[in-house]
Amino acid sequence: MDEARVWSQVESLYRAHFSQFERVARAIVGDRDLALEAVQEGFADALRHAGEWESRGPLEGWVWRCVVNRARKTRRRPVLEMPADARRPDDGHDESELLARLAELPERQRLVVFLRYFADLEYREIAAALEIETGTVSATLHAAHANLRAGYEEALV
Amino acid sequence: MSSIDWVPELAARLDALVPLEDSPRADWGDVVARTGRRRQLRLWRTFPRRRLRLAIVVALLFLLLTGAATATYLLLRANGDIAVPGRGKLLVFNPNGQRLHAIASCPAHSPSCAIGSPAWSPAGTRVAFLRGFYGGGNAPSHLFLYVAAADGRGMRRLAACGSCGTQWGEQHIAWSPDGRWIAFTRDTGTRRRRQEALWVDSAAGGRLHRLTYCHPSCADVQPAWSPDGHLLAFLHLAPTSSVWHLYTVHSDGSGLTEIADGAEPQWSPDGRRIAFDLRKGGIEVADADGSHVHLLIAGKSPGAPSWSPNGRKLVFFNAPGWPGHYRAEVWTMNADGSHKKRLYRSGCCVDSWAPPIWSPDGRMIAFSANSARGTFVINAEGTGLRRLSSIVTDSLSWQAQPKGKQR
Repeated sequence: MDEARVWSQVESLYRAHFSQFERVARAIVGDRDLALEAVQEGFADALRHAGEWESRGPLEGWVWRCVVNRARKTRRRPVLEMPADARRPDDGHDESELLARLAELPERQRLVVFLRYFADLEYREIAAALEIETGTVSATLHAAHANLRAGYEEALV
Repeated sequence: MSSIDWVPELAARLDALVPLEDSPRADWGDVVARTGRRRQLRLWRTFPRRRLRLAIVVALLFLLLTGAATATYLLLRANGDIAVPGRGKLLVFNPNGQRLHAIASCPAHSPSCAIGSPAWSPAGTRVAFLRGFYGGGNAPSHLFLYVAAADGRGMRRLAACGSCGTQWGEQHIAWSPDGRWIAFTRDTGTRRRRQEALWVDSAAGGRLHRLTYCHPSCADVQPAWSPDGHLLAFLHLAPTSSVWHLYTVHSDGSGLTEIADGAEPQWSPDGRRIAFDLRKGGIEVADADGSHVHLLIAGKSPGAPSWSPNGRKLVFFNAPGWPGHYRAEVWTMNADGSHKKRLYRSGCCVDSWAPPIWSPDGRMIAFSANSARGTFVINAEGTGLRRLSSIVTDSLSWQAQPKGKQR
């Protein structure tokens, strides 16, 4: 695929899924402005290296990788802190336990959870974003569910 | 999606933690600006990479071809065309063998007519030649000196010159360095009393005058004008003598001076020396006043020397073998006779040939020989032999590229 076409598709991704990108970035960096910066730079990275993408794996997964990597580099505070702009659930549950468990997750599990739940990505797209095998995504997500289960189950009580 | 893949309860909690927002902050222009490639983006879109690669390859090929063409042009720029007489015509070839046009031709159905002895003017804008009836055996020649423009236009007959010295060597017409005058041998005597003297006519015609006198029976032939235009060297033949005498004379006919025994005089480009044939064979060189005679090469067959344009080398013809079995060879040597190198050798047997001549830029040499079956050009270092024509001739002339002329 020539570079111009990659540029065009990246732009389409940006316009169609900016909210998801921004949300995942926000989950990683814990700050709206930093998240926006990570998304913008992530997409800029994707454009700068458009010539390096050679149709191996989904383009969306590759762009996600750029954004996630940029967010990981941008992160200034641990994710275990509640994002300042996060809304408190109106069901009266305390999310501190869930937050604590999220913070305790290995980074890969945490990123898989974010990409799965905040961006609604398929396994192969998550695999492309994190440069891991699709089977590893499944196993990682399963492990994350097991680690988080106590948190959300307790919250549901 | 299985429940393992997606846990609704977890999704709800996470949604609450990091809710999805609208995207008013999306700014694609900012993304592009961060790449610093806004202009390039337009270029990429209008010029995809594959096409760009193709364009680069095409551009490189174009540059390669134009570079080769330029090199060829520069190589040949100083060299004009080669005049090759033969088959009743005076033809012009460029050095790569392309036949260009005929400068002159004999009338149709006139087998006794021939054209020979071409000589380009120093500026390369005109060519002088002999045209008429070439005799044979006891039949005398009836030739005329002509001048024509390089493209053959404006052909003009300057003078009748009889045999024009054609029975003596191959050097019959000499242009003055300024291109205003032409020296040649004019036969004005009778069969019993030969009167072949040097004459000079204006290249524009109408100013014919005699330069040398010889009585009662003699021939002054093979004129060669010195580079400064002050002197003419020539061969003086006395039929009663077995010796060839080389003389110089001022262009006004004064100052006749014998300088050496030899023939086919060739001025060095700096005008200080003259190379010439020995009657017994071999090539000598002497100062213009006849002093400091130096043998360059001995032997029965080397002869017809020609100076390279820079005066550092000489090219000469050699015909080793025995009667009836001579081969044609073209050699070069340094001006002091060292570093002799054979550039070409034909098979047997040569009996008709044109002395080798240098290209005006000194990079190539042209020659003709029947044993080689044509007229050839070869690089001065002995490579790149190529045939100009199947015509075998006895005289060639290489045009200096006229100023301002674009090939």
